[in-house]
This record gives sequence, structure tokens and C-alpha cells, in this order.
Amino acid sequence: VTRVHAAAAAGATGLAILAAAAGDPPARLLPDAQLPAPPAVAAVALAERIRARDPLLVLDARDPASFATFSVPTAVHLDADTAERVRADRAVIVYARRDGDAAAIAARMRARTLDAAVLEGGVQAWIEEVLEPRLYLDATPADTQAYRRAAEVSRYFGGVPRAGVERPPPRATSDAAADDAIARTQRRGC
Amino acid sequence: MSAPFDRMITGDAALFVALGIGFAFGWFLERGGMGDARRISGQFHFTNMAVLKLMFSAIVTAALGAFWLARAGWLDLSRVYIPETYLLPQAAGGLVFGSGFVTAGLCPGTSCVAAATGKLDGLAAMAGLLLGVLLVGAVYPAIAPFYDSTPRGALTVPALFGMPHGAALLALVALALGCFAGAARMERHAAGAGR
Repeated sequence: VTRVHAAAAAGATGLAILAAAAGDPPARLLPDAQLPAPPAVAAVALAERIRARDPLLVLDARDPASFATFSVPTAVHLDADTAERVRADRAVIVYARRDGDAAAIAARMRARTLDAAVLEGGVQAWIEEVLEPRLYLDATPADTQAYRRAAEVSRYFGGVPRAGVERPPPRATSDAAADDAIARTQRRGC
Repeated sequence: MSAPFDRMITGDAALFVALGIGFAFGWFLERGGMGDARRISGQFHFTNMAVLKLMFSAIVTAALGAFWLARAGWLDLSRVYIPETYLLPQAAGGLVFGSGFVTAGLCPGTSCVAAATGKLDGLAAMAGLLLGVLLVGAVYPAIAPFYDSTPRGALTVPALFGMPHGAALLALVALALGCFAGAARMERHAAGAGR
């Protein structure tokens, strides 16, 4: 054992003792708020990608009971503890009770170089845009084109597109509205 | 205020930094005698403990460095990739890796170092490495269920044992120093037996 070895051993021991006394380092330096916002994917676009069997990992970050009641086809449940450990060699689409929660999860995944995006509007958007697309009486040509696109993919997922209906008041995006939308899908028969 | 490394070095600059680190890694492996298959295989006969000493020194240096860089606000530990644990496939992979290591006297990194210094056994080990990669790629669909079996997530010692990072570091350094002392004793014993 040379003097260099002894000095290195003493240095390492000293740094380790100081480390034990110093306390844990910060788990994350960059606050979530500073992470770039992840891209958003519209419900119909996601439906088309699922139907085309694109390599995708759809993650449902709501509570397990909500996931058990209704989820986007092919989605797997994601709990908060495993969000940091998700590893995927394909695009990841996250949705949660609120888009902001999904965006925070997706942003952290993107910081780990995953190709993660958010399902815009979450489950409520999936139900209203994919399972229940509507063509209103005052539809513009662009609305009609969007409806045709949604209606085609809607039938694939067992949805019920309807044309020529009255335009309802502007849609609410609240937890209650999402629960109502899920309840509508439960009431629908086979 | 200091900034994390990954925000200071981005884009193409990161590739050049990675290249530089790769060269430095190979250089220090070579200077540590890790390009010599005879020296490495001495580890398996407990006659030359250079591999254990070099690897454990590197682990202690990296662990202490990561801790103190994170404490200083220079390294974001949440962005350090931790490979996931898959118990059975990694145990099987370890056996295959170990068999190749003890047969060739070289591992993938040291085979590159040996090849770079013109050693034919290094080139042969690298050819075996590439053939192995091709073989696993070819049979991957058949072994995929085993490959993904027994997942345990990204485990770390502090999380596994519920202990502070610093305490885990202290235990690691104590273990390393104990192993270094044991290795020195083994080498003296082997040298005495060889006379």
C-alpha cells in the first residue's frame, strides 16, 4: 500500500462520512414547471393510431377505480410510483383526471428522452369525440369533414356517430362532466 | 447559480463530450492493465485482483462524485438513467457473460481496448461480441417473454433498504476498503504460494 493508496482511501472515507452527515441530495433540480410542455394528441388522432396498430403505449394515470370503470382501449394503468420507471421503445400517450397532471407526467418522461405526449381532454374527449361524434345542424364544411373522419374511426371502437343534431351549450370540462360521459358509456347496451 | 451539466452541454456538443469520455474510459482501462487477458483472467484464479480493485475504485469514485455533484446542484439525479432489474434474465445473462469473460479473459469494454492496442485475442473477442449481438437479435422474438420476465424496476440501494444516500455511500466505501485489504492479502498469499 503506497502513500497514494492511503491518501485515496482516507479521502474517500472522509467524503463518505461527510455525505452521511450532509443528508440526501435533491431528487430533482429542474422543477416540473420549468420542463417544456409535452405535445398534445387529439382523441380522434389517437383512435386512428390505435386502429392502425401503431406501436404505442397508452397510459391511464387516473385512480385504479376510474381505470377499472372505463379506459381508452389498449391503455394500461399507471400509478404514481411507477411513472418514473416507465421505459418504452415506442410513443407514449398519457391521460389523467386533468390534462395538467398528464402533462406533468409526460414532461418528466420527455426529460428522460421518452417520446411522450398527452391525450388532449383525457377520457372525456375520447368519449365525446370518438365514441359520440356529432354533426350539428349549423356545421361548416370543415366540421363535416372532421365528423366524417371521426365517424369512421368511431364505429371501429363501437361508438355511435350522429348527424343533424342540435348544437348543445358549450361543453364543460370538469370532473363531473367526465363522470357523466363515462356513465353514458356504461348505460349504453351492447 | 450553477446549472446542471445536461443543460450546459446539449445537441452535437453532447456527442463530442461523449466521444471524449469514451476515449478517456478506454485510455484509463488500458493504463490500468485491462487490455491484457492474462492479467484479467488472474482475477478468476485470485492471483491478480487488479479487476476488482479498478472496478471498485471506479464505483466508489462515481458514487461519491454523483452524490457531491448533486449536492452542489451540478447534477440532476432524476435524469441519471438507472437500468431496470429483471432478476432471472439478468442472472442468465450474467452466467453467459461470465463464461465468455473467463474463456476469453476479456469483457466487451476490455476487448475493444485490447483490439485498439493490436492484440488478436481482443479482435477475436470483439468478433464474438458482434456475433452474439446478431444471434440474440435473431432469436429475440422467441426469447422475448423470458427477456421481460421477473421485472423489479429501477432499484437503488438507498430505496431498497430505505436508508439515506449518505449512509449507503459510507457502507459502500467501507465495503470497498475491506475488499481492497482482502484482495491485497490474497495477492500476497498467491505470490507466496507461487515461489
